[in-house]
Amino acid sequence: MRYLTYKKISDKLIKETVKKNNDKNTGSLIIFKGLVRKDFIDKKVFVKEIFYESYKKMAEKKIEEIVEDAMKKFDVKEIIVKHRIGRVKPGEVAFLVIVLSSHRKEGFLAIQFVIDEIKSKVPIWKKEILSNNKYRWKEEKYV
Amino acid sequence: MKVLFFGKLKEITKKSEMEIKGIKDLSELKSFLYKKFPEIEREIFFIAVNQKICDGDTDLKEEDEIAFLPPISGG
Repeated sequence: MRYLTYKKISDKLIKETVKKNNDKNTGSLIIFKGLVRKDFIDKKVFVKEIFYESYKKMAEKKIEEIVEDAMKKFDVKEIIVKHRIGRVKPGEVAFLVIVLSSHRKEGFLAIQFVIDEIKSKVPIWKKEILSNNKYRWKEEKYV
Repeated sequence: MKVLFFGKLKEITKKSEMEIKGIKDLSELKSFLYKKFPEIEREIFFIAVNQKICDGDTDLKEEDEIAFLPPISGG
């Protein structure tokens, strides 16, 4: 899988990815990390972890389409996307987008576009596992 | 044809996939599944045929992969 990963998205991975893709003509490097929050449902119960489920075959295709679309729409050099699947704990990175471009303006527009598109069109679902061992599915966006 | 269920829909059907034969279009597939799993009809979902979101009815082939997708919540 190119975009989905069961492995932790570490700073080491981010550094290596950036190093590999930076051709020294980059003037702007924007990194977005979406982290799992320890949300409180009430005074005692909180989100212990999130289980991310995905229709992997479609999700990979959809992210590819979104990245290609963004590369056409905005003047950017490289777009890197990683999304965790499986169990992710609060504080860990669940979603990573990196945009390398010559200038910051196009980079910011591109990263906002990619984040919004992925969050609303890629078949990934969150199941919040709560501290009382109950769970709830989050259903936010309608395709 | 292969029918896939995700998220809450997988919990309702207690299946992540099933093999179904002799269905000619999406309407027939939905009717078949509503009879087998009546709770599905009350859920909001989308259908993807071969990884593409499908609005309205469409003819189905035996080799198609049909996925029932709850509202997305990634990121």
